Amino acid sequence: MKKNEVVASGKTVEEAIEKALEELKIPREEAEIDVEEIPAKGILGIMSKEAVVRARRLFDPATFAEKWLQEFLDKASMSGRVHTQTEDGAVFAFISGDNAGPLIGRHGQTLESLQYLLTLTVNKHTDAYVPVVLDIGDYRKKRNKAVEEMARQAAQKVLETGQEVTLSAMSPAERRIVHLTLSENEKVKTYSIGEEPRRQVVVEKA
Amino acid sequence: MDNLLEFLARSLVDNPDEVKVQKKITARAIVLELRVAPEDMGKVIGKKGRIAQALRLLVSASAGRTGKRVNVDIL
Repeated sequence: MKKNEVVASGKTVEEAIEKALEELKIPREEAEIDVEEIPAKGILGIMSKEAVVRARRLFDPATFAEKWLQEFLDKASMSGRVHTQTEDGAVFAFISGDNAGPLIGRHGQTLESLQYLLTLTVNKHTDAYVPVVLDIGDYRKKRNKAVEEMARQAAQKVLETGQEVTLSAMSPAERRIVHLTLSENEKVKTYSIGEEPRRQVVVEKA
Repeated sequence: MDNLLEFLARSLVDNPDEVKVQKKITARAIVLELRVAPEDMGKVIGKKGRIAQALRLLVSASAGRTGKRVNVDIL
């Protein structure tokens, strides 16, 4: 595990800070520094005090996620541009590029895997849980739209036929979209059946 | 792809220096043997093998064009 905090001393405050940063292997702007002791000359070297500083690694999940994804693409010999942003404490990461297909995978399985490992890795460095959402080439954005549309069509069919409709298996995030989309519609209600990863939403007459 | 597996495994474990990946090529498949510190086993397998499954998918995705199937063995 990487060290997140060190205490270092030196003849001057500057020297102590430099030592601390060297030990943490980070640039100055990625550290928070407290000066604990200011150096004192003393008399003839007696009673002299060294400077002591405490340096902490500042962890920015979005920056970390961006670097990690870039390294992932390099190691996977894939090209793509990585962009991340933070919103309401969650990290949103995007990969764009021409060859996104293999990275999305069948039904977005590879995308889900990459998001899962990215979430685990980011949260290894944080105290509180930071949600991470990854999208590749707008796959998730388009898929979410499609899921909303499926939900509306299912509701319509339920009202026309009076029979319940069971949608195909979806991830928790996608099921949430179905529930949310149809929560506005008072004529139908929704619930889920089955076990992960093949849980399905059922739409029926309210 | 062995580099990729090593990178992913190192990101997940507490003892990154003990992550070792060996690549073995057979007629039909490429086998990547992943070794981690005993206390890190759970970190590369996960509940119901979910992490191991993710590792396999990502390694296979990156190896997609080589035509051979890729197996990841956690030892």
